[in-house]
This record gives sequence, C-alpha cells and structure tokens, in this order.
Amino acid sequence: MSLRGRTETTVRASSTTRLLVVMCAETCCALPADIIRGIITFEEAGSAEAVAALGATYPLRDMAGRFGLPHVSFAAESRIILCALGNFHKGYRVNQVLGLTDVESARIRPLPPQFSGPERKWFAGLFLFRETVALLVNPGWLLGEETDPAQLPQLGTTTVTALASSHAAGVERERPSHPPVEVLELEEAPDADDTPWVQL
Amino acid sequence: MLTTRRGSNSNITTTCTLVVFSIGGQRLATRTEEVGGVWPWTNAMPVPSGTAFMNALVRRGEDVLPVFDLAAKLNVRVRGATSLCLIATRKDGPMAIRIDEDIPTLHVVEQASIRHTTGANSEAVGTCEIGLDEVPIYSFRG
Repeated sequence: MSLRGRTETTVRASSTTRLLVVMCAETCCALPADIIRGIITFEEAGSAEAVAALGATYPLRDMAGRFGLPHVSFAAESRIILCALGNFHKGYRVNQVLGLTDVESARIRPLPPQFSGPERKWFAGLFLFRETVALLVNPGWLLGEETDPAQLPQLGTTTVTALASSHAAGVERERPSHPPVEVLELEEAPDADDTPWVQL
Repeated sequence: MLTTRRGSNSNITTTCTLVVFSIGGQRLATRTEEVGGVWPWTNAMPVPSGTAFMNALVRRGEDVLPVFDLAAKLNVRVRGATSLCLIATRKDGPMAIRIDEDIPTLHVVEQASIRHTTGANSEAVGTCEIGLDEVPIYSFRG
C-alpha cells in the first residue's frame, strides 16, 4: 500500500466591504457605502431641515449630535451625506468626506472591550485607516431613530435635483428611474496598502 | 513526631515593585506587573462614548488601544509638552493612560508598608510612603 499525496487548493474568499470614511468632529467614522445615496454641499441643502432627493425626504442632522457630541462648526469641506436603509432616510452633516475605501472583513476589529457603554451599539468595529483609526458606524443604529416616515413631510425641505457623488451613481445604478447627477467628483488613487480608495 | 519550629523564615519580608508616575503633578503608583510599557504620547482619536473616562483610541503601529482618561477622573490636567503614555494591563486587555512628561521611576517597597484603602477612587487600592509623599497605589486590572 502506498500513500499518495493529494494537493488541495483552498480558495479563500476574502469579503470586502466598501466604506465611506468621513470626519465627524475629530473622529474618523466609516459608513457602509451601500447606505449612501448622495453627498451634497451645505449650499445645495439650503437652510431647510430636510432635503428631498431621489424620491425621498432626508431629515438633516449633525452626525456629531447623533453621538451626543457638542456642535462643531463646519467649513468649506463639510458635506451632507444622504443615507438610506430600507424605508429610513437621513442626511448627516459631517466635517469632511475623506473618501471611499475597500476594507477586508478580516481587517475590521471589534471595539476594545473596555468600551462597555452604548458606544458598543453605535460602532460595529474599527480598522486602521491611513495614519489613524476609523470607527465603523452601525448603520442600523445610525438610521434607526426619528425615522417615522409619517413625520417627514412636516419638515421644511429643500428639493435637490442635482446631487450625489460618483459613488452614489454606482449605488443608484440599480435604480434607473432616478439617475443622479454628479456634483462631487471622486478621484481614484491607490493608498499605501494598495487598497483602492477614492479621495476628494 | 513532627514539631513546629520557629526559624529564621519568620523574618522574611516580601516586597513589591511599584512604578511611580505623575499626572497633573500628582504622584501615583501602580504595580509593575500592571504596566505594559511607557511610550511617548501620540495623538489619540476621540471616540464618542458613554463609558466613563474611556473616550479615545490611540494607535501604535498595528496596535489600537483604548485610552483611559485618568487625568479627567482625577480632575487634573496632564502637564508637559511631551507627555507620556503608560500602558496599563487589564484583564480585558491593555489600555493607554496619558501621564506627565516626568519619566516614571521604579521603587521597591515592603508589602507591609502598603496601607490598604477603600475610598471613592475604586482604582486606588492603597497608599505607600515613597520619599516624603504618601503615594496612592492604583490598580487598573478591572
């Protein structure tokens, strides 16, 4: 009897998640790209409390305020990101959009166990991003509050006809009835890890 | 027949080694086995948090550590332009504590000289006389 070696090739599927990385005050936050419907400037949003776009109304709020942080002043690079999850829509003001990044699931770590409060619901994990760390925001929590659609028409709204980034265009390809118009152009560039990302 | 014999063993004193550091000019101590190292302080990223005094992350290479704001707990401000980062080892993992720029020192003290305390500061497990100061001894084990 002889032993016959057998070589098996194991193909490990590395799942990656595309994330939009933004600055919320001094904190680097990442949101799953598939909940992003558009990125608009403050000027486009106007002074209304909500933005109507792509057939939905997005109540606006500071992302920092969502975390209970004090209001921070916004600057020219500040943006509003329009998010949707199921029937829930929300627009969040952020201090800066840093870009898109594809992150392997294995690179996403849990929040250290020393954080034992509500932040464990807020953040699904963290990953190394450039020279710092990005916190992965839990989209279910982010969009899970104040989302009663019946309240939305009561808000003063600004209708935005020209919105969305090229990323949103990618997302919206599945919805041909609402073709987005690019306002922000995202330029692809490689980072040090050869991970594709996009920088404004 | 076995008899009990009192010998020189009864004179053996046990000692422990403390790391003495300062925050906001206050001297504090912790056991060396609870210290994972001392680094230069690097910028921490604030983390929105509902956990008391746990409000930032610090990155060092591939490592990411939570930051325990002991200065805020003690209601003091870290002193010095080049503050340091003390790594405290806990049961649930290491955490970073920003401390004054004064280099921490090692002190060997007798166990018997440590006065155990129970106070408002849950981390302070005792005090010990080091030099002229009565230095609180903190435990971060969690």
